[in-house]
Amino acid sequence: MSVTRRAALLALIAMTLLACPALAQNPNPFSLGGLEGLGGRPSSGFAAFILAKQAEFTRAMTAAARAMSTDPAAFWSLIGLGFAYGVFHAAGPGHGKAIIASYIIANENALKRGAGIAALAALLQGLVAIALVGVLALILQGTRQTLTASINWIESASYALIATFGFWLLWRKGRALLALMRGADDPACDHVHMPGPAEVARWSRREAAMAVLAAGLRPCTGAVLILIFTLSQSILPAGIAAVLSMSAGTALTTAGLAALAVYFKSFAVHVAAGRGRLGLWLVRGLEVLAALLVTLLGLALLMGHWASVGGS
Amino acid sequence: MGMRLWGWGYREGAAVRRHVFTLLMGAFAALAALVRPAAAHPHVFVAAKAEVIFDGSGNVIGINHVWTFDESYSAFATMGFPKGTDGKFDAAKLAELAKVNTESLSDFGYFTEAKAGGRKVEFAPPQNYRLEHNNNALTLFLTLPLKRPVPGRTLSLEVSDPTYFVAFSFDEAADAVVMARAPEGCKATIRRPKPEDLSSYSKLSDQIFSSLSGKEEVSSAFANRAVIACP
Repeated sequence: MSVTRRAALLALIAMTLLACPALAQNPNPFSLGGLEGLGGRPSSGFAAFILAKQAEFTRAMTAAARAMSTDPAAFWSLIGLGFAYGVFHAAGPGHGKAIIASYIIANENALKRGAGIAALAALLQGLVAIALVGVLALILQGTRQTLTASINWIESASYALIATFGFWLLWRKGRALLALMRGADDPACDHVHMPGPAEVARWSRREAAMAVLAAGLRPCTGAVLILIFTLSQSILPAGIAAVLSMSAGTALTTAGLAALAVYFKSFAVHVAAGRGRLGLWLVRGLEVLAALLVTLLGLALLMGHWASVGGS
Repeated sequence: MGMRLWGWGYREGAAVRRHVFTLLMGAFAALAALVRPAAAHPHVFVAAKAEVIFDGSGNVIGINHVWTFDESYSAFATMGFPKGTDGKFDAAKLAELAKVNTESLSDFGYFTEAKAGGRKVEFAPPQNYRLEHNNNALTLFLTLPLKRPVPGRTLSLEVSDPTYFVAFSFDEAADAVVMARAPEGCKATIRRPKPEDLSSYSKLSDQIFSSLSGKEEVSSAFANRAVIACP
């Protein structure tokens, strides 16, 4: 029993870690208006190293964009740096990756599909940033206030979408777990009341689209900033190219992470296969936890966002 | 939860149940660590200069800050600002931004921590603030008066953002920290942040749980500090 309690405590700590930084946010005088995500000093050397590298890439990109006015070849450094930034940025913790990993763990996905979802989410992130800056700054000549207001709106929508997606997964996976609890011995039994294969395929396509939206709707800060800077230097097309390159770099890393999640899930299923009910418990339990995590993440982000927007 | 619900024999059941539970919770903790939305890297960089103001009889009465923002943040902050015929930003817009920036500094302790003889110094609201825009970069000037003058024999001055949104670093120039009306023989020593030092003792296992303990070395590597010592 004590092991169970310890495990429960561990889960509680994990949830607190999840929710606390999100709730303790204050508007910084030099805030980018929620653009920067959540702050906090890195808690370990490794995290600090990743963050220091990202900061370096950010600054190097600005320098390359500025150098373009005298040296057109700097364009290629800008593109290369964008790609490297994308790879590094995606290696840090972030909600997009968590959603994709959890979604994959909650579902049985093929490798190609998992990687495809991750890549599409990365591309969407870049496109949202380009559309946002293109419309607001270039066409409407908006100020930072209109930009941050729009980003706040997109953030709210994206976090609400994550929570909704989590609830939807939780409902579906929770039902499967409940069916198991009621003593449905055969896992296939659970599917008896489910719609036919064509409809299942349509649903899973919708679910995959929802995962892409939930993970990729919020634009990346680095992308928005480089777009605004290149716009101020009258070289926006170079900024757009850099952002697309950034998306490609992000896609590379997140697709790799998605592949890991796919392998993890198939490993879990493989381990479970020879173990009868215990195995079923393991797989269903894992799926429900993954769904629960997406839900909690969405709610924590949403609450943190409201707390910070309300305060500024 | 009853035995029937779990559906296997009691003897192996208890042990197996523990294993499953531990495994699931482990997976949950690992996933939760992945999503913990902490530690965004700074997107705003400030090259700081400071002038420590003495009263002429060895007491410190205030600090003049000069903070130059990186070009990217400067472009963001001045987005959509009207420009005059000279290509300069509208002065009223810059003044308004300076006011907004400076007034919200109090919630963040002015990003300034000073200790005189080991004791924390208190600040009054900033004065004489203004923003300038040169070579694509915004520079914020402000005077931060001390509530009460303090003896300036040993004064440590830290300019940093504890939330790490803004990465402050003293300017590389030799005159990054200077003194006004200081007694003869006072010296300023600067220690800039070196986050790259941290990678040498990185451990992957650190990443998940170290935030529970809060490592001193980590924060000291981000310290942006100057020490004033007078004879």
